[in-house]
Amino acid sequence: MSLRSFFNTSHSNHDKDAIAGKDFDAYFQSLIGSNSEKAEEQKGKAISKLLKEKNVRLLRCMGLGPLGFVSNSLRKDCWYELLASQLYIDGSAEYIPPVDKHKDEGQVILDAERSFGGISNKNLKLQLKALLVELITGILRKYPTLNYYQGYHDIVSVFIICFSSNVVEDNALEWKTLSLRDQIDMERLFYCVESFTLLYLRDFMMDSLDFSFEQLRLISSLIKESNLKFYNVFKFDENEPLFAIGSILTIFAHNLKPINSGDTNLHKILFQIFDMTISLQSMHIPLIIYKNLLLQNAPEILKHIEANSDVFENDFDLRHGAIQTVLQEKLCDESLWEEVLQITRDHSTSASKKVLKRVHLNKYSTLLNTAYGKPRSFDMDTIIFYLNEQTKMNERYKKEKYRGVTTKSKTRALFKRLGHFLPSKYNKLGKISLLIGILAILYQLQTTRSLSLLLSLRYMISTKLKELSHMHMNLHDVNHIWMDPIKDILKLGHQNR
Amino acid sequence: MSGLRTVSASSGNGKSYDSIMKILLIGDSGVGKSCLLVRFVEDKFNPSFITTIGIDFKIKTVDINGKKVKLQLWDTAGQERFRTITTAYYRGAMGIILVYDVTDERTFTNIKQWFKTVNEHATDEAQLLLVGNKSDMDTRVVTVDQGEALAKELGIPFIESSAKNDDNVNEIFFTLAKLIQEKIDSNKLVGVGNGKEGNISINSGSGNSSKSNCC
Repeated sequence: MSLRSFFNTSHSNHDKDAIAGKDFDAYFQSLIGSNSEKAEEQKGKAISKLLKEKNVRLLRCMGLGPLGFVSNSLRKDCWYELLASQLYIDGSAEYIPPVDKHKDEGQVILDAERSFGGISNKNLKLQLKALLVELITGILRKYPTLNYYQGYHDIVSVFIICFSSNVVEDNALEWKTLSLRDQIDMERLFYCVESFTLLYLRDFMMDSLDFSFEQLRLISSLIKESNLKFYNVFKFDENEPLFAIGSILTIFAHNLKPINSGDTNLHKILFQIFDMTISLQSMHIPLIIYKNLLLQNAPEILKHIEANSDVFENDFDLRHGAIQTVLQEKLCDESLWEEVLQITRDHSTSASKKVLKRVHLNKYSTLLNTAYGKPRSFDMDTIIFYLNEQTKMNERYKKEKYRGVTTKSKTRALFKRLGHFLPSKYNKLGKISLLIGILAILYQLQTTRSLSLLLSLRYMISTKLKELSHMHMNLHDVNHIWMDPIKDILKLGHQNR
Repeated sequence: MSGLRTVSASSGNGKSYDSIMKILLIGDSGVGKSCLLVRFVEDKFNPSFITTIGIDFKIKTVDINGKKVKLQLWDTAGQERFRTITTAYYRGAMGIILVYDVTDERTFTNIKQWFKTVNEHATDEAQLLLVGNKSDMDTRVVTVDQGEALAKELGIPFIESSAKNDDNVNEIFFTLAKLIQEKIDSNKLVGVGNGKEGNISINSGSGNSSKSNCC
């Protein structure tokens, strides 16, 4: 659903509302007019009014539009209202037996120690770090089935900065004696982090990155739908977008958090991305934004790949190197970000069913339920059910990796691999004909040779192709592996003559 | 099979280097991998340096024995859960730097695990180097002797460094690059262009450089 259609839906439902009564375009034009300060002031007043009315529906429109929720003093209240409307948590209830200490707390401390680099006041920085540890360990101890990942601390830092910016930006305060905790609404801050974690970040907080990889693969699928030429030239079918992991796991906080105290404008972009994500209740947003970032820079990325094709050991490295080199510079370009966010607003803000179908997502992924892009309220029983099911599923994935797949799925996987790992230079017809060839050989062996020969042949091919399924394999370099099984088949056939 | 590859660019194709080396930094979280890299490439040090999520990449061209060598440096996340990602980048690495923190014994103990991971995923020819970082700290718990003993046990060279004080940082990368260069020279890999794509020479019969894929 685009922002326009989203707004129109809200409009029809709230036609008595003063803001909704205005024409969409005229309204937003007035907000983003030539004088940004004036626009901020106008939008700020409108948001304050909506907050008083607890008009969640129109607050979501505000969050999606240019400037987002305008300022952190308004933003923290908007985030709270929206997140509270998406998930009801009884503060006194115990949903999972808590623990006194979570296994990942050591890592949390290590990462907190390296946080808030943009804060120059030492005492304030210490308090911010302590607060970061307190919040993350609070969440982990309350939901011990969640696993901490490096990058989660960046997301929680965004919430902390949002809730404390009014005092953090006040240089007159003496942080040696003043307690940061006393200056902010800790209860609301914890609620926001808690609900955001449970609704938006479950996929990332399993015991492995499997579900995170699923989300990354959606970027390739989104690109295929939007720009097939770029998809093909970049070879997204062969190179998983692992280069995006830092941006996606942190919803761009890793890229846009202020490292130096002067990076305030990029910080504003980061807050707007969070505004959009929370307003739409959608983890599709970071993936779509990433897709738009790539597409906006596609010519440059391809140029870089062409110019550096002999510098890298393999296609996978070359593509990562190109993306990182191009984006590193571009991510500091505020106007590019404005453009990308506007493109994101103007087009579909959720992956289509067609795009989703191309990618395997676990049944309980946030992308399919709690952060699907549709406003919906959840109760904690449902969330805990999703969390438990995802945890079990993730465990199963892990066990399967060790034990290998079952006999039935082994055969299915074998044929799937046969099709998937054929060199990409062959078209679909070529792939099918080669598969038919293999099937013919198998049939021949089945009718003329012993069953044991057939089984050993299947095992041999399966083993070789399993080696190929090692992620990120550059298929152009491994054509020989495809040839090896055929050679081995011929050898095997020859030996049995 | 070898994953070592050099790129000779002396034949007037406009390149500003003679060869390229892919180098990886691995080790537990917080040992200072990114700080070593930033000190080497940008000559900067920031104690609150940002966490590496996934993998980061930097390039620096250095002079090794009169040859311009482009070092392709890949910095990896230390947290265990990112291991599945980072091992994907071991492919074709010519040098791997195993880093521990001299003030944290756990990171030193874990080096053996990292060594095992390297053996599982990197090419046989990859040159390894053990680095004990944060040598400037008073809170040291791993002695130089312990570091040397471990390096001897693993059969790899050893350097202690401080990214903060810029002690031995350049030495890490230059030592490794020289060792790789020697290895390449002894294997007669340098300048063996195959005439394709700007004199690329891949000394692998099949291009399959990962042990896990060896048949």
